[in-house]
Amino acid sequence: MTCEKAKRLIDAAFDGALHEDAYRDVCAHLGMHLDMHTLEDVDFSDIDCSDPKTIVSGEGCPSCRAYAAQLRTLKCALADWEPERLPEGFESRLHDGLMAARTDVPDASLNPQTAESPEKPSRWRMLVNRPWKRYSLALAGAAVLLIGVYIAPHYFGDLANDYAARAGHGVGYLSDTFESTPHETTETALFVPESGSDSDFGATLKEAPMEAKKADETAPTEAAAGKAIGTAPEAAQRSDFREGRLMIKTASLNMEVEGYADVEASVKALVSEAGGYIENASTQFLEDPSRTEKPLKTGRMQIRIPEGAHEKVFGDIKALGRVMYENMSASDVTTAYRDTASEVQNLRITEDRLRNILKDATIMADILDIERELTRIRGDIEQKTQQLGHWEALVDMTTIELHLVEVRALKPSVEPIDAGLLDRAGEALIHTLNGIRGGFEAVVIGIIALSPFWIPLGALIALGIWKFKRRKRT
Amino acid sequence: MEATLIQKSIRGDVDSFEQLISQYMRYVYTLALRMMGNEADAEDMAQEALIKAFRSISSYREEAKFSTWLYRITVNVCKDALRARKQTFSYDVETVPAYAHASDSRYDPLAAYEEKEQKKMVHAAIGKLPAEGRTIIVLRELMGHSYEDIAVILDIPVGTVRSRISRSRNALKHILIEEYGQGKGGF
Repeated sequence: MTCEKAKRLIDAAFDGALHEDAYRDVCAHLGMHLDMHTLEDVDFSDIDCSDPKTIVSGEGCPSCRAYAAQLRTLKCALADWEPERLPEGFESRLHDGLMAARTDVPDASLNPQTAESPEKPSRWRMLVNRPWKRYSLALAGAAVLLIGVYIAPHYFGDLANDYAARAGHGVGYLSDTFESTPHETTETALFVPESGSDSDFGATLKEAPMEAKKADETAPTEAAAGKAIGTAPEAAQRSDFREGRLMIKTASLNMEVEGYADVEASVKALVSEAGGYIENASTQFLEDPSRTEKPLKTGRMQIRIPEGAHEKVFGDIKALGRVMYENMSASDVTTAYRDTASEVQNLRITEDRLRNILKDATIMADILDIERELTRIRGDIEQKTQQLGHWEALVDMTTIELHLVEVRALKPSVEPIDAGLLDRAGEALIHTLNGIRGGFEAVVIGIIALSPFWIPLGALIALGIWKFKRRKRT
Repeated sequence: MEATLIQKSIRGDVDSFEQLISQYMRYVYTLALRMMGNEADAEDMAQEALIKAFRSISSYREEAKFSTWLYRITVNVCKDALRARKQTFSYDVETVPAYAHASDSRYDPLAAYEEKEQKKMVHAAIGKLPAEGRTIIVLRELMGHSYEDIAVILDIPVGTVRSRISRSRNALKHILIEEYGQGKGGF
């Protein structure tokens, strides 16, 4: 017997989990005499921990004897291991939980106890019985109060705005921000090439969740009909896990550009040419378009480029303007990917086994239990498969985060004074005056709105002062 | 007796169920504590497992021991919670388990001290094992389950139980040697 095999069996010998022949071989390897421990007593539970020679006396393999001696020490150290004490109040909380759960027990209606008035304790009582949860509740209450206090002024501010709008003034309250949302345009997946290898990828990304959803929809129906066997969705049956190293590459680029629209069009052309697509894009004005003839813009794009082509595209985009910041990074997800792939494979084996058991199951309770377990396992498989697909997609397509800021000129130049300078100054003054008026209105509205609180309060205070003065006088 | 309590529990008798689980509650809690790594979560999981057992007691078949069935539910509840959180496992080393007695060496103060220290070392090292190893050590060493019972509880083949126990003990020894040095405490 090799030492490696012997060491594996020694553990089982200590636990009394070896057959007679194997136990005999282990004893021979360790140089133990069989009559030292009868086979009926092979779990060594009665060994004398204070005598290290009890087990490994005699001649035998020194390495394995040392291994056995260490194991004996370990077993002795764990010999009188006691289970933990239950936390205070554990049983009463459990009782509450069981009483609440009793209504879920199918035959509970047969029990006279159910005729009692149903208690409504359970979760709430379990919640408040735990000190740390009580404190959490108190903190949550305080947070709600603070938020309320914070929101109140805004609420009254909004009232002032509404009042001003209804009065036909049409001017906002105090902070009149010209870079408001109407000036912003957002596009999502606005540009997907019509043909090319990338379209498959786009389709995969969009279809995977849909298939998962379909699977979710069909599973319960089929389970209810008792036909869950062999209905695993195709999307989750994949076994073609990737080999080799998996690297997710990302890059980011901040640039100043002249002529935003032209640069944007060039970027789209470059991406299309490389077989990629723009996953997300947004554009925003830097200046008020109603006041400036050619307002400057800024925008962000999230670009996906097939792995391998990204460096060329990255370089080409950089040539379109002045680079203010650039960064490229890569993260290795090989280990996480392999682990998850193994988990999926194991789950599939378990699933197959359960399906086979389900075929032979005849008792309804068993069938329901197995189907519940199958649903859980299927959910896990779906979740992990999606994660694997997500990693693969990220590996296949490098992500470039592009931030463009438009400037009038990349090279410094003297610009003439804007002819409409005085007009703009006049508009700004009007905005300020309207702001002051709006603020005043908000204060008046606030005072009137809060009068139910401060009038009685003021009256009480005045009464208190009057009584105090009167007492002082007398 | 147990069969009667089970039948009553199936009919929704809470008292019978409490009587039935009274001898297993501490083990359920210990198992959850070793798997979850902290007392608050352990209590939540133990409560959930016991309530779940009550709800589904009608599905219990007498082929397996009641305790085995109960511990299997506990393991599944904890595994689900850990999976949902996707958390890495940690263990509060301060939570050193209680000991029943100091065996014969209690009459020798030095030996008793050394034995106590050795036990502390071993239990702290168990906390450093991965959840899988902690669970199987608890099932085998604390609860004294046979390899067959552990296979049922963890839903794995007996051969896997054997190799996992051997691997976990080996890992335990390595942790002890790394943490406390060769030769210390008998390792």
